[in-house]
Amino acid sequence: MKVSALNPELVRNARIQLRRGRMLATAVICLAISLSSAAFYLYSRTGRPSIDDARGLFQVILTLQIVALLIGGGIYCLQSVHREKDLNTFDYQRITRMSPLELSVGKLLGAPALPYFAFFCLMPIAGWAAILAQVPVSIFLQIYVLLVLGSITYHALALLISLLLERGTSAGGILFFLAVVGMSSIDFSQDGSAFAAHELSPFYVFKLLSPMTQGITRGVSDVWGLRDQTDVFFGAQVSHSWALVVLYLTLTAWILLASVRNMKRDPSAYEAYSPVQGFTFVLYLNLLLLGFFRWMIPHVDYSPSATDPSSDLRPIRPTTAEGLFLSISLWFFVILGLALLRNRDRVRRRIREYGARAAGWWAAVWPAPYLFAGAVLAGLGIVGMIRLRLEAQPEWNPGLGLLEAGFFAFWIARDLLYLQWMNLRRARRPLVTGVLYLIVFYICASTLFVPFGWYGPKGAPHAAIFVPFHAFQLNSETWISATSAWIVALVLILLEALLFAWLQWRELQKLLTTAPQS
Amino acid sequence: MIHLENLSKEYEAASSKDWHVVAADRLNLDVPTGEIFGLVGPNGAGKTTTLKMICGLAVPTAGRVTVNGIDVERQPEEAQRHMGYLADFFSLYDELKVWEYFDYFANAYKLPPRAIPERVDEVIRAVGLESKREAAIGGLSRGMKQRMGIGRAIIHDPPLLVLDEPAAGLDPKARVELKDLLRRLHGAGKTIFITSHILSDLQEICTSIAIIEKGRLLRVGRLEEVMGEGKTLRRFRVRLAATGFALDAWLAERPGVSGVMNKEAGVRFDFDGNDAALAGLVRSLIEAGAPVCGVEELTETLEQLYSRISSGETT
Repeated sequence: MKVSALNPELVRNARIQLRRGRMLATAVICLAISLSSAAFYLYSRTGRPSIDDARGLFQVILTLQIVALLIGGGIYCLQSVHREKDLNTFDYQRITRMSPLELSVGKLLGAPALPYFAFFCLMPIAGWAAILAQVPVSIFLQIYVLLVLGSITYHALALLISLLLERGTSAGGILFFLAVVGMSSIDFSQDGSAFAAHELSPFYVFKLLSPMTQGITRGVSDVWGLRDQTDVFFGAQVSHSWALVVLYLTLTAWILLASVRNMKRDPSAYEAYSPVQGFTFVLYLNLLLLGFFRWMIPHVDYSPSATDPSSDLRPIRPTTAEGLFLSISLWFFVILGLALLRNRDRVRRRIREYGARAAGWWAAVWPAPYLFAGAVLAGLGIVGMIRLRLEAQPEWNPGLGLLEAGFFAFWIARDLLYLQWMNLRRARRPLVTGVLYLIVFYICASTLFVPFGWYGPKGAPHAAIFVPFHAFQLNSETWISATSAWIVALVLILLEALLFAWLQWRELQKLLTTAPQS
Repeated sequence: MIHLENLSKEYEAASSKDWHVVAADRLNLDVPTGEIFGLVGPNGAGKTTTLKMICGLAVPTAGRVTVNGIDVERQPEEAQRHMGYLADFFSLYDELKVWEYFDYFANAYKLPPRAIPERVDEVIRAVGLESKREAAIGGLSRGMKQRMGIGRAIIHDPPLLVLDEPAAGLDPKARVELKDLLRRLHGAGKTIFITSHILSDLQEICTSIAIIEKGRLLRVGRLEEVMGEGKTLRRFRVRLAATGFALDAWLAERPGVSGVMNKEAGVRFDFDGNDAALAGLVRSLIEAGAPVCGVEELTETLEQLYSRISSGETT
């Protein structure tokens, strides 16, 4: 069977991207880079190029390949659907008999055809440099498997962004994508936090070379470079490279699922995941978070007396562990909540399908049930893991941990119920307005806490009513000193959530009375 | 072929001044097989949204669309096998060659791989682009590009073509070519559902029309029925070769004649009678000594009809 019959979209992309002129220009640029790099290496300062020089050359070429494939390919994927929508050609694809999977895969692998070509054009010089640098074949293969698989994962994300973007927002999409790449590539903490998010991107492949570069650079990062090649997943030692392969494959599958679900849909009916799929995905992410959680964190001695920066691993404090876990998990649930939000059009269609049931009280608490259930499960997970992994300490007990999880669950439910209510209001861009109001609320509330003196342990329960993040300071001491205040805070957050549910119910009733009949 | 049942579409348009839009308001319509059906309406009347709902590209807020008996919302892919769609502006891949474009869509519509080269050639011939087979689409004229769009719509040989403003932006020659192509396709048995702002073109080719405004259908029916709707009298104009005969006064005394108006181009009047009665009237006029050099029936154009029944308001 011809490739064009197997995946016409892939072939169309390749035909457009790989026109003779473009390929020639790319090949010439890559040749120029290769020749100049080789010349720089062969005629280095010392006269006789060393292995270190060869490693340097390999790293330079590798950087170019990563930039070309990961970022260049990502930008092509970001434009893949968005540009089709701008050109008005996307509807023609949607109406054909290509399956959503075919279309998605065709765009995922076809849109970045030119970056792939550039990547392969640089392979000869990369291979030559690797041989000169005496990079073991296994490491060389690991580097390129991770680079290609990792790039595909990021490309899948870019494709999804491209699909969901509204017209005229492509610059925002590119910035968001670059921010994701940056956050998953750069170690902002420098002292080794409980998570190594910066080791998720294909830029990690440089770490595979780091044991060899110990002789060149010294510092804290090198100590980490050696250690970071092994991960601990629920207590089991796993190779970071293998962990990345599994992560890349599973994340690509999850992200691609969202693209496939929506590729042929009416944009007004986009829904990244079904509620069950979204819920399962977030639980999966929480499981990863929990599994890879570092229960031993480095303690780096930066004191002036220390002659050489050194570090040792110490158990994380239970309150820190729970607060940190929930702070990260929060974002997963916020994204799930945003994905589950219903707009007026969707509610109208639900009313058409299910009648008054779609505007009842159960509908008015949407999307809280999924968020609440997920948040409680995540809370139970971290509390259970703290009990398993850390020694008992007087400042924390499971009851307090569960209370903290309760604050977490009510917090998410409250804010997403608010956003759901805003999204159903008759207004221009109601969700954007809702998010802006929420940001303004948090900024103002956080500012006002200063004159009220609510930033200390005493004011934490009061602050938690508005910004439940303060409940993450909960420990035995703060609990005993203000037990009733904490309980009142929790009840008030619940009441706030119910208020937004009632407001949503009112909007649903309005929509029910104005719904067109089939 | 197409059946719309209480079809409604409402949405919030972020960029529109009146942001709550009712693009389609309980539309009920039947388009029989073999028709060239024209949908007429001002910008924003809901034509494109209706077309997109017919094609399964937009989800209705309420109501149902069936194409060839297939529910478009429930079985979009099955329904889409029976239709070809052309959007309201030029949208092609400029970097591809003409044959590559058709090859892509032939594969996308899952035609048997062995039949594709032959089908691509057939369509290229059908749209008159044989000499441009290897040319890049970017270098084609607007008329050629529009014919390519129609070629894409017929690549899988669907019985229904849904065309949104296919003549927009075309020069007169390209419009004539397009009309010829549509007539040929109609002759080959295709049902064509078309919208256009160029009402004279629609009047020339359509067998039935519907007039839509603010998402509502104002008139639907066979072209001649819609054109004749609300009219009981035929209007004629008589021209004389020389002055001196009091034509308007003579006509005003004849039975069945009304609304006599003397204009520069001749005398216009409404006549309540058939062709035989008209022939008798003309014979009497000549016998009365009038130097008659022309008698013509004045028919209402689609533009005039549209202006008469439409307020021109948009949603």
